Amino acid sequence: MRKWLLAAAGILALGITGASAQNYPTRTITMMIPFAAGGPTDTVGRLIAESMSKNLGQQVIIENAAGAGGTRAPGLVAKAAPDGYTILLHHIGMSTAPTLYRKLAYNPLTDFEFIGLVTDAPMSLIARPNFEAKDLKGVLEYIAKNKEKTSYANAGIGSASHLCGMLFQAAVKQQLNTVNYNGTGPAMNDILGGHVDLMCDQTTNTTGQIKGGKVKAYGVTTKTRVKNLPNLPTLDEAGLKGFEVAVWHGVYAPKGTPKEVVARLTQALQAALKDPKVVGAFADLGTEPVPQNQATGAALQAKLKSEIEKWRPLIQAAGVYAD
Amino acid sequence: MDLITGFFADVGSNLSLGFGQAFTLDNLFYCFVGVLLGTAIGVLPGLGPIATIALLLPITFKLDPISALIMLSGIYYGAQYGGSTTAILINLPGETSSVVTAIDGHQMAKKGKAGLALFTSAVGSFFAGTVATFLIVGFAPILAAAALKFSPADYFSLMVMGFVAAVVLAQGSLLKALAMIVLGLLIAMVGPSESGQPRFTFDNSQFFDGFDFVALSMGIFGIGEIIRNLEDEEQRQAIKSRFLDLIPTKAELKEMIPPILRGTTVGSVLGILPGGGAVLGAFAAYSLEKRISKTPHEFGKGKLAGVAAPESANNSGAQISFIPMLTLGIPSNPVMALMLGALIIHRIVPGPTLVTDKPDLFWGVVTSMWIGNFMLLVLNLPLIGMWVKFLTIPYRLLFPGIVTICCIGVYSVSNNPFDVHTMAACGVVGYVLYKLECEPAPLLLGFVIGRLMEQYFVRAMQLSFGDATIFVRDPISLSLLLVSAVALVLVLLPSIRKKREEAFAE
Amino acid sequence: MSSTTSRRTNPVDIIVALIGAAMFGLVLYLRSIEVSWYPVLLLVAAYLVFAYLFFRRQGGFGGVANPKDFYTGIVLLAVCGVFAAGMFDLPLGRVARPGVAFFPLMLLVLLFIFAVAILLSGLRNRGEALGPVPWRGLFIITGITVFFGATIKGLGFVPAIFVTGFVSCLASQKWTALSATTTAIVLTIFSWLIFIWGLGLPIALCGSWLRTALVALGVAGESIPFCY
Repeated sequence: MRKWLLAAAGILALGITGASAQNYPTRTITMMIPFAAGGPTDTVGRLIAESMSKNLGQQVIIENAAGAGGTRAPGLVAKAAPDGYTILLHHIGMSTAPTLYRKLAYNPLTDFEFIGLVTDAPMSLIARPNFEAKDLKGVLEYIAKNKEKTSYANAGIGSASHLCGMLFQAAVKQQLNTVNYNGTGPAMNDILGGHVDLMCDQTTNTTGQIKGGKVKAYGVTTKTRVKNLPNLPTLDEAGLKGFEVAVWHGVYAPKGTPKEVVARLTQALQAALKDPKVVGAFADLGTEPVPQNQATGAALQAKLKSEIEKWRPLIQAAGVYAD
Repeated sequence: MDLITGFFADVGSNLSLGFGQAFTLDNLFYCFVGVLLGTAIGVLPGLGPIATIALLLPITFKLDPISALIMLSGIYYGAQYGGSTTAILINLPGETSSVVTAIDGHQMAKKGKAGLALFTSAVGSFFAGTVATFLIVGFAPILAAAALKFSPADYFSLMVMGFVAAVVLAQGSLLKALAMIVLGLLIAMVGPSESGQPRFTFDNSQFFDGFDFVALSMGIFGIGEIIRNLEDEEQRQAIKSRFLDLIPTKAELKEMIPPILRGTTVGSVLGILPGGGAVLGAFAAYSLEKRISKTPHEFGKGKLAGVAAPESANNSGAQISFIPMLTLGIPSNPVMALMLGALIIHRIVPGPTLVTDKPDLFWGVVTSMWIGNFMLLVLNLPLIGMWVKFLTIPYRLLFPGIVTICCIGVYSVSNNPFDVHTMAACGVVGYVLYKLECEPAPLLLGFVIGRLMEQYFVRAMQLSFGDATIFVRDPISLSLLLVSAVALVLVLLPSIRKKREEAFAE
Repeated sequence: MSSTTSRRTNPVDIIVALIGAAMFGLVLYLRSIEVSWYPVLLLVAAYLVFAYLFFRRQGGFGGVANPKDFYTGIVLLAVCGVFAAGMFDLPLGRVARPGVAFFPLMLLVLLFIFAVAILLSGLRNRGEALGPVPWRGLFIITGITVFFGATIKGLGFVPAIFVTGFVSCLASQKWTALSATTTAIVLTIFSWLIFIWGLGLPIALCGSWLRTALVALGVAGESIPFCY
């Protein structure tokens, strides 16, 4: 009996002081991705995980915990052991979930430690290949004429394309016929096939189609033009003044992860964002890493806070809830 | 348009470019590793190509993109080959596509013709794979463009046709087959809905992601079959089969060729459609065989055509499903999505320009598919003898092994004990279905197409502003519905006639 | 048909079956007036018990004209009940924007029609009896599968598989202690070779409960190989 008690006490003590932060990491780190393998977020995750592994001296492996509109993975990570061996990569959806889901299993602001921002992926407004409008002005005219008969595709509630769509509808002051798809693939399929009119999605997905001339493109959603699509104007300069949205990505750890461990992870993230291979791959996708001073916990926390406030009124006005 | 003409201008030089890529020692090696691994995971229940490819992705970063893609696609179509082995031997379809193969394949094995069934499956798959490769070489862009013409309403009607196919699959009561499909569709509704709102979960978070196909299929087929065999242990004797049995007689050869040809055609046509066409291929091919057969009552009792047709269909479908990915950059299933992800990490942006930008990659991968299929044939024929030996193990020693491997396999899908419990429950369901003479195959088809069908229905309604006539106004949809209606009437006729005869007899 | 063919249905049975259907209707009604799902599931269970008692009254399997059809109908109606119970909170939407309940409702109506039709055909047409059930095999196989799921994390790969292999051997009438032990050992080695050594699945060989127990007993130190 005494032996048992002693052993139990030993385990407890180990649990508290154990996992010494000095020699972190000593084993494989799991990076949870809230979306299916092969998607744009997964790609961003795999690129930086590969590079972070080199810096940390331990493998960072990807685990795709898709489901529940991207709210399953954060829920799992929030409950995971705060030892730095389970981390989360999530995008803009982290800031919209608290408004979209009235019953959320976690609080994005209080249940996590913040490691840093990763990249701001631009989006682009595209249309089916036989869409009549030549430029954004034409699109706006088309919408003014056809009103809610204009169809808009998105890759599911809470997806980047859904958010961009809400912003777009608010900007043109017209409710569109929103058609939900499960994922970008099927949505893009129906755009290419001419079954649905408009979509605004990450350049990760659209660049190949735009360059191949398979879809009509009207503009990108960032402040400046995108490097590998130089002929595409920004929506702001094309006529939608002030229209700006980017799919920002951040890396998180469970609340209570030791400060040294978080700092170590931030350092690894910053190194990954300087890695020429990552920079190059990001450039192919029409995006680039955030500046080094943004790849910090403080910057991510501030961004998350401001984004939650930005999206709340928009989502509430649209009256969409995912649950 | 210029893309298409450019494509045709130099098929010859492209092919030689492709073979030049695929025939290097490195790429032959990766192709071999891919198909070997694919066969292994296909044979083992549970661990499918998605999990394996996700596991292997980090390794492929170190290869050059062509080798990486060749290996990953080898895993994909290798798994299609391997999947039918367990379906035939122990009635355990680990892949959606082998559900149909299990119906007649396992009956053949019970009759001591496992060798012949496996041989048919291997040859049929190889032939289908070859045809599919040539289709990709010659017509990829045209086929891809044709597939885009399918609107959500058309896909919905295609699924309805799948319904009818499943009804034809059934051996017993038509009414029960219909009920089983609807039951399968309803079970598919459990879990997350389009909007992310969970349905039919009764606030139990285990149900939030719905049921896993592998758990459902292993339970209903695998575990259910074991319980059912325990019913009459005396009857379930070890099957004696010698290696020579796999070599078909002339008559058997004659019997298998036409179904292979038809199966390949059906599989290729449906495989082009990225939204679930490949799943329906095997079901449709089987129904077609049963429909045109002079002896339809022999189906379900170990008919050779019942293995040849669906196997060819599912392999050609699997191969053809590369078309939308390679020519348009659109993934037609989760495996293709993973491969696209791999390409992006290799700094290749997938999209319609891939064929012109990276001809070596495109043609290298396509030609490697044919080489891979050939390797699979060479690899699998000698293995048949070994597989058949498995069946000579006395059943009382064999079934504990099946139970254990099912448990590990289902658990390994996502390391979730809930999947194992689902399988346990489905084992009982499978046994009850057997007792009540309800066919499990239509139920599984319903489960597989359930979500897709709902999505297409909802989308079609949204795009037509609630006008349900869209399903008959659209020419493609209308013709699909007409085909289904005619097929359904044809199925109904004999049973009506039979009832009449019975009535007269009394 | 064969000698197992049962007698024709007694009109009294039809009345009893109708009472069952009425109970089913009550389930739907209660759910529609926003009663929480617990009592509803209880009612579904009661309905199944009722069906069972009905089946006993009939003198076991084979009492109704066609038990295979009749009980298919009963089971499907129960399934309809469960899905109906889960449906009432869900938005139906409009035809132009179908809600999440729209498609399932269509399916539910279809299944209900089929279920009733099958049930009626079970009362009218003759059919074979159900035959014996291998209760021993059914319980052992189902039980051991549940056991595997419940202990794979705690006990780990090796013990869980050994027990699963051993106990499933008991499902056969012809088991012996020797053959069960041998089968279990062979299976454990075989699956280790394939799944852990060959495919490298990330499953702990000995699980968290075992590890805690071993450390506590002082059998092993902090870092037991293969235990995590």
